[in-house]
Amino acid sequence: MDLVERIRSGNKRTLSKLITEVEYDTETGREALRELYKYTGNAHVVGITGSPGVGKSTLVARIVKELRKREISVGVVAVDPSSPFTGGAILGDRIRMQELACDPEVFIRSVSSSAGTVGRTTKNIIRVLDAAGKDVIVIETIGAGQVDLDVLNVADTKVIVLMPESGDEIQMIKAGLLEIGDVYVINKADLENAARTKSQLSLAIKERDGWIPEIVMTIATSGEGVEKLVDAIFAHKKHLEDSSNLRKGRLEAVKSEVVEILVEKLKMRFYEKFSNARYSDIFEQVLDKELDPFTAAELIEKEEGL
Amino acid sequence: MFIEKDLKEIESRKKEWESKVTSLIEKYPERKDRFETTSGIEIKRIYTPIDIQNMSYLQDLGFPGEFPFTRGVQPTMYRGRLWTMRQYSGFGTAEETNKRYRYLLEQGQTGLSIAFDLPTQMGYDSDHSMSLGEVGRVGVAIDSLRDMEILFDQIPLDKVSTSMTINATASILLSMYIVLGEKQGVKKEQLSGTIQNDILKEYVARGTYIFPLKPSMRLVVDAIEYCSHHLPRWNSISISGYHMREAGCNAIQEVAFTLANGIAYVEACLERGMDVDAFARRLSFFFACHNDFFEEIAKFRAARRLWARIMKERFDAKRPESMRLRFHTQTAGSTLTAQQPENNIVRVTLQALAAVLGGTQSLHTNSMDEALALPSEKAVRVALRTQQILAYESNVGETIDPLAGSYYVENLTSKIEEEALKYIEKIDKMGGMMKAIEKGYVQQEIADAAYRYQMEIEEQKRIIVGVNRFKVEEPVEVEILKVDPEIEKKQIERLNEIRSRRDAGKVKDALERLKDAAGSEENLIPYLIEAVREYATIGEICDVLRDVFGEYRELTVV
Amino acid sequence: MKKGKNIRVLIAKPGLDGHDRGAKVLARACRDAGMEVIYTGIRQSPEQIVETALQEDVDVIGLSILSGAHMSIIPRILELLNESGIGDIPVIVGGIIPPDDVEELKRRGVKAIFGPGSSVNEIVEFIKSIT
Repeated sequence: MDLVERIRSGNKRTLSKLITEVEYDTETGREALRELYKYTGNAHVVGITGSPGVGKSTLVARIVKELRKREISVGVVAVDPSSPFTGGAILGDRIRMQELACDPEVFIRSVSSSAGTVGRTTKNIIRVLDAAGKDVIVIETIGAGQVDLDVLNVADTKVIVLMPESGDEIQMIKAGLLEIGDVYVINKADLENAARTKSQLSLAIKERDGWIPEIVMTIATSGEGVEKLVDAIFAHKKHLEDSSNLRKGRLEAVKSEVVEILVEKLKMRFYEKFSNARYSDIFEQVLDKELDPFTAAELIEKEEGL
Repeated sequence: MFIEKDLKEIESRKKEWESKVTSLIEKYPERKDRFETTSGIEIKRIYTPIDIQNMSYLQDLGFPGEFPFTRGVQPTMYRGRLWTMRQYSGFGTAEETNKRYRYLLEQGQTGLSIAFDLPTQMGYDSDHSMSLGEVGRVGVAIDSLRDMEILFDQIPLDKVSTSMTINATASILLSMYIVLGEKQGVKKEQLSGTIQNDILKEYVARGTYIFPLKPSMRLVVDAIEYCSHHLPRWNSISISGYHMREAGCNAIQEVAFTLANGIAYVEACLERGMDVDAFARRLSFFFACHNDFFEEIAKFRAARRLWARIMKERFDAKRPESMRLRFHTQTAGSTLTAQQPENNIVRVTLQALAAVLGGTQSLHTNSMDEALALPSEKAVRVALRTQQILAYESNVGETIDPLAGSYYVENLTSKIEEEALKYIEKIDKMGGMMKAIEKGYVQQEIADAAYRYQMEIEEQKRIIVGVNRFKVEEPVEVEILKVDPEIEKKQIERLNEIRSRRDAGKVKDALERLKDAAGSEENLIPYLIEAVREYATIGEICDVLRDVFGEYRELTVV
Repeated sequence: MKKGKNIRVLIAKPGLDGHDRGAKVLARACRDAGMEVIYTGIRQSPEQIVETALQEDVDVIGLSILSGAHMSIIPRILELLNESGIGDIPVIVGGIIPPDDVEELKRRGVKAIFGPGSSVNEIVEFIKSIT
């Protein structure tokens, strides 16, 4: 059996090994992605983010359980931060999902955010899981920073998790997450201020491309509200499928991905050129302030006939 | 405590002395730049009256049996009655453990202390898949009342005091003990003993929780409330620092987190509508005793004083008994080494001595082979003899709190009280211990301290004799107790027999009533008593409660 | 192991024993040594551990067990690893394991056993040496 067949038939060992190849962007990984590409695009990708402490992991576990109840197969990608110094990481999001570990229709993979390319890595891991036949792929993000947005951007449905707040203004406004969420969750809804947070939130969010983001109240620890949350996710999925925007949006994504790959290639090509001494004079001049970097770039552009 | 003039004189003379020492040190440096206790408190070269000049004898020390109980909780302490020598034990089946108990009672042990196996502690029957390999392993396996009947065969419950190390399923085991008493013709009022029943520390160390925090707290309070009405001689909770200490926290944190847990329980009881003086006197505590001799003694004294003040000032307790911190001590298992195990006898002796000098009410001394396996009979005997030698040969118990007035010990006592209070204030700000646990704060503090401690050992900043210095190549020659692997099979056979013999209809009814009660706000103990009386198993009872309460999942705190 | 790839270690506590001090200290030491640590926490069944190792493509499995249930649990894990086709992943064990059992577990395929008093730096170095 070749790789594609093994992936398509759900061989976990192959799947797991391939994810590692894809994660490290190896030749083997790229080769496999080329072959698997035509089998992708069937899974619905759900990104889940929220600040640390809002109960994300517990909620993800509940969502997966609910999906399994509906007999939907699930892939999970859990992203955890890594140390910028050692590259080491504790990947502990699984703790909350371990009771799902043995379900043959669930595949959970922990990823560290070590590389600055975690957005792309995640996208490719999703493709592998997608080709392996998972119906829904849930990505759990770290909950902070640019890395988070990069990861979230690969999701079809973006779920933002909040918890009741006592302050007058919802913190998420600062993080800019109010512009991108498709579904908002107020978790720990049994806490004080839940209703108030909800009404503040509903004032703050706006219709986008014909979709008014839904707000769902949940208590992840007991599972309350999770059914509604999953309904909301599927409602958004249906909206995407019905709307002409889906193809338009995906076309944009494809365009930016191809451009990104091109840029990456060009970059590599330039670095190769620079490694032989051809332009070293120019760089020396820039360093010695005899030339500015903009002029230097123009010079090289001309030289290369770009 | 000192005259101003004397203090001035001492201060100036101390300065003179120090300047001489400083020049001496230039030539002959001391062993370290900084000396400190295990908790990181700096240890000075010497202590003088200056170090305790702010201490007031009457306010800060007082007299034994009187507020703030720094010097001890009883007026005569060990002159009246020695501490209870209580060796924690239990393994295998109820029959075997029963034999060991009767042996220990014959040997002069004065109280029983039951160790349960992990399935019993976590509410699984012996035939549950998670029980694989665990049945009868770290303690005795109890599935139903039948096992308790065998465990206490020929041991009259009105003659012994029984301490049960049980938490998540404490209310169930207590219920079994009550029914067992009934069957022996012993009234509830006569039952004496302790259930650990301290679920909060399970979430931060040790890990034998089942349900989420809130319903777990309810079960804890149910037991405390029930005991306050019906079992006047029963300690309904043993608020334990031991396991947090074993998980890696230091002495200050041990005091702080234990008392913060205590505060959470008191608050929960008050919320239930109980009067503080109705239950506080039955709260008991449980600490570890480590190697840092003086710090440990100071720790016990500080804990007593701090708790007395908390009960009086924060909770407005009126009865002195409500303010007394009575505690059990176990020597610290984590200080035992697998290397040169005989050295552990010396460690245990020092720790036991510190516990006695710190005024413990009861004591468990670890066996030298516990870092290798479950203790053998011989090792258990040596451990018990260690206590007996302290009690009968060393004369350390003949006067009360003999280290009071030591400049060092008093200074250290105040320091630990002060630092522990800071932690408690921090936890208060977070909204109390339950919130602090939900956030993972306490877990993180403990993990950090454990990691630091280990790194100090790795870097040889902390010496463990026989482990990172003074090593020898040696074959292990300790006699080791092995648990018979057949135990699991036998236990499951008995479980099946009970299931087939009991009245299934009555069991079902009792479990249904329990389920309804769990969904209400009623005290669950009477329902548990009815269920265990019909030989409902721990697994069946816990499944009912899991259904209603849900299960707790740990936080990722490393 | 591939060049430039982080070592991935699974650290799990099988059985019901909740004493996780050793597991956590090692997890942290591995992280500080630049490894990716999949930490599953306590109360893991053999099946959960093996499935996790499979899905996470780990290089090493570290098990910590202090309850005495090791002779029932660890052989079962080794067996399941083989059945899942990942019997090649080295397994190391930490905890209170009597000498006889140490021999038996090694015979069955456990790579190394670290008892009380082991240096975590040594364990970290050992992991590096076998990956």
